[in-house]
Amino acid sequence: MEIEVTNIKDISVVHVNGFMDASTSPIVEKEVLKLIDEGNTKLLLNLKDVSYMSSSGLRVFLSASKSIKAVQGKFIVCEANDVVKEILKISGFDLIIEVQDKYEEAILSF
Amino acid sequence: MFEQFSRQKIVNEQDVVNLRKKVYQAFLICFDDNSFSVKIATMLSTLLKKIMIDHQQVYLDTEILTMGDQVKNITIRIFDPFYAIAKEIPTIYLHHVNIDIKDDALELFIDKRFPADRLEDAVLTFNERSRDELLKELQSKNKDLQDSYESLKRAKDNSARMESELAVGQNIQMSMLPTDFPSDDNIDVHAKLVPAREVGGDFYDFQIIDDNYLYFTVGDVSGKGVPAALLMAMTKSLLRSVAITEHSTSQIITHVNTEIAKENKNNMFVTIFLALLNIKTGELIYTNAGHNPSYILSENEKTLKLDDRHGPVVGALEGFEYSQSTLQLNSGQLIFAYTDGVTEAQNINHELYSDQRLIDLLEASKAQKLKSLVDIVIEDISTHEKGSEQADDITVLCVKYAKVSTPDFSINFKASYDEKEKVTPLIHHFLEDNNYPLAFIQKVQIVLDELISNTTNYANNELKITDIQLKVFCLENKSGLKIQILDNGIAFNPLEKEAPDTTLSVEDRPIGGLGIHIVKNLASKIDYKRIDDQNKITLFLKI
Repeated sequence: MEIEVTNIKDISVVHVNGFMDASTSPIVEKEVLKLIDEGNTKLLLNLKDVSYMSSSGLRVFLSASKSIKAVQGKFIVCEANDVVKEILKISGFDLIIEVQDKYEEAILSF
Repeated sequence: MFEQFSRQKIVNEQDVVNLRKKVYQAFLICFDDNSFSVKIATMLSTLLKKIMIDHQQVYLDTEILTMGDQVKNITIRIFDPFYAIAKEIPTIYLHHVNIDIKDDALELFIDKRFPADRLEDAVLTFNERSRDELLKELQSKNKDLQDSYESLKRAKDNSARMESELAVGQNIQMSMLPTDFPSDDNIDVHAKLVPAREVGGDFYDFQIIDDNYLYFTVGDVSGKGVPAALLMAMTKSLLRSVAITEHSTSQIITHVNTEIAKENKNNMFVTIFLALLNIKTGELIYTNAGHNPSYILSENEKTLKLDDRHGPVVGALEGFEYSQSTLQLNSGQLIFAYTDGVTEAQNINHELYSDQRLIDLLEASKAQKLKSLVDIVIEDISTHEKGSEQADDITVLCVKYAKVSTPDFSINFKASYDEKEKVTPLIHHFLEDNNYPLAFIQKVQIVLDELISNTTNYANNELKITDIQLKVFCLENKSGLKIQILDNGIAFNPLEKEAPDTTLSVEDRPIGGLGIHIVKNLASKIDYKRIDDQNKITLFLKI
């Protein structure tokens, strides 16, 4: 799994390549929390190249959402494939975190 | 009207003595003449004693002729209802008394008058039973009572012996029946025998032979009681001992029939359904020797009746060569064998339980677990029989066969994230090689990640290392997968975890419980069992 962080204006875009399971999700979580710690308040998690994600990925979303709320920031995920979308739906996470289909729309939502 | 002197029955010397006393007392009242009364009583007793030498029994009637307030004469008649009294009359002379033989009877004619008003007391005295007579009567009644008590006691002893014989027979029968029913993914066996009060000779038996065959049989010995129980025990033991070495049901029955027929002095016989199931392939070989046809129940097909017959009842025809049938069982099919106590159970109107009722019940209940199915059948028969006594033993035996395939993918590893990381790509390649679609593979990975990380989390709390076994079976036409995950960690059923509230906000949302929620949503069927100190999760994923 690879993690790449780029900045579009004041938005930190985290691009994950691979799958998010019990072994790899903690790596993403560490990276995301580090960005928030550094003062970033606009965070976009691009799931375009995430093949699948277990509940360990949801754990990352949850802790990122909580941390960003504390600094009045915004956390958005985008480009989830069908499998990841299904997981978001089953868990009800599509209702509690902001999910955008397209990367461009997500950028414009901040 | 005054009372008559009652008829007297004389059978022995004691009766003569008693009569002598009564005659004396009565005549003393009548004639008021002691000497005369003694003489008549003595004369009468002397005559009777002589008569009694030749006669079993004689009767004595007394007739009185009155005239005005006087009794003119008395006639005493001694007779035997069966034989004439032809005794030579001894020459006894007594004034006023005449002795003669008249109409095969001996007559004593007393021609001496006395006032009729004395008669009432005389009759009363004569008719009153003496103390001795009362005593005798009492003794006789006592003897009758004693006799009936003895016969009652004898009857009771006999019935107690019968009862204990029944108990012995039932003990023999019930102690011979195995109850360690095998139950695993491959075969499931359950049986029940409800003995009738009067022992019948039903039996069932099963045994796994060489890890390859399930031998099972149901039989019914003709007759009841200890003889039936002994023949049942002998038949069951013979069958099993032959079955261990002989893998042909026709040969087993042929051998056993010859043995039993040879020794069969009581002309008893046994009906037997006997089968050998190859538990690896599902091939069923069976022989029916005069027994009720068994049934094959299938999930989606109509019930099949195994009505081929392969020979007569066992024990009847020495040297008979029995035949057999072969049938290929499909995974999930069930064999139902029983004895005639099932279909011939009668209700209070003497209506039989019947084959049709059994088939209907089986059709309606075949999806039940094996033990429940057996219980349902027994229960239904008992409902049918309510109010009438169970006439015969009721026996039911069920065998369910499921094909056990070797997994298409199997791996053992330690419960740790490092180990799991190595397993993930192996599964991926296996599924890819088997042309499962990518989205499906991803779902499989999610499910495995949830379940294995769950086990790993629990394993981390334990001191010993937990081993995980993963088995993956491809379903027919690659329509999905069956996955088994076994671990030897502490007993834990993840399915019992409560479903999380997926409507809570980010702040209120607890972590945990979501994984299993996701698994339950992705899998079409999931089941947890604790077997042999292992947690075993079996689940199905459909494309």
